Amino acid sequence: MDGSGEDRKDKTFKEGKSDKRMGMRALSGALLLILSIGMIAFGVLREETTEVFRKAVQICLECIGLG
Amino acid sequence: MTENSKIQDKGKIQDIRRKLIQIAAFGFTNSRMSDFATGKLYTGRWKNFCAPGLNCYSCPAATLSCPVGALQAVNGSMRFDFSFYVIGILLAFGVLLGRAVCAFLCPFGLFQELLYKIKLPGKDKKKRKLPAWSRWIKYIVLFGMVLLGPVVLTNSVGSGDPLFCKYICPAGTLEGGIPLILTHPELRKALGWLFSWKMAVLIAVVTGSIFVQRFFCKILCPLGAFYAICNHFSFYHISVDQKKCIHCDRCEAVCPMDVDPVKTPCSGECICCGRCAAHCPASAITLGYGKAGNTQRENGADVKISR
Repeated sequence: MDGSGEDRKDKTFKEGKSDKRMGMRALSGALLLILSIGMIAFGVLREETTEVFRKAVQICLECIGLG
Repeated sequence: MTENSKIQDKGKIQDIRRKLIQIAAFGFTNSRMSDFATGKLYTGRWKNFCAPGLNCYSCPAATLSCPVGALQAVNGSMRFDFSFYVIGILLAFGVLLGRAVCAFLCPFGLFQELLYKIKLPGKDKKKRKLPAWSRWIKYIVLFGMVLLGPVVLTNSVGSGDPLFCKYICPAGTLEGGIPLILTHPELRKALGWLFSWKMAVLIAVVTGSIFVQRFFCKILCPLGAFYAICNHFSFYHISVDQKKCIHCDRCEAVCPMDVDPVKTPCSGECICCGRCAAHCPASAITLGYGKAGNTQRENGADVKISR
């Protein structure tokens, strides 16, 4: 086999690995996005937003440096 | 027009576009500017939602909740030890945008960038780099002070203090502490060592931001640490076409976070601001969703493209 044929195979193999990595990234991102939506829903169901809201609408003495 | 001036113009246009998005994000996160005069906090339903960037919810202008404050509030509450809601929101932002949140949506990031524009007397500012180990401090802040601290260090009734907000957060001092102290005389009577400490931290961060780009983002921001982890799997990311790259190192020179996009395109330190892509003379760097270019990297080393 001549050198240029081996070079093309080498480049195709490496581009293929890069494509595979991009695919894994997209898949892991999609799964984590689904997980995040589930976490938000679960948090809302167990009324975590009540704690968030309660803290956010009062002056946070710790945040402003009054302890 | 020379090639260099074309690239500089492209860089300036990109900077202006990003600045406009940052200002819009700041405006949306802090839409109630008139409340600075009265010192009243917004108490409407938008406070159920967390902003993507660092913005104190005790700021009179704040429309949304601070994600770091909200996380500590839930983790430190008597009812919960972990906030699925806030982590879910941050994870969603992280997956969709990665650390681009820091570059485009964070009000405190905008503040730091404006501080860096302050010209010092004498020679032009040279780019100052912080030691590499200092980047790990923000992870200690995230895991130690934000996630674990309020859960582990609780009082007799089981509630924990928001340690980051209480001892470090300069956004809280700047956006919440100072305006509220000015408009509430009763709060001034309660000033003590903690406020002095927080003012010292704020002054240190402001000074650091004048000399070092994104000083707080690099070493202390727990939100930056969280999004840095997300950078490794976010949809929005940088791709480098090694075939086009001419290794001029211009991308590294213009990067505000001292990242070399060619060596580490998916670095957790990269805030995806796009400066590298705008300044690349070979258009080898692209920023966006999906497969934006052939990222030819294997095990952290340059891949030799056989010819």
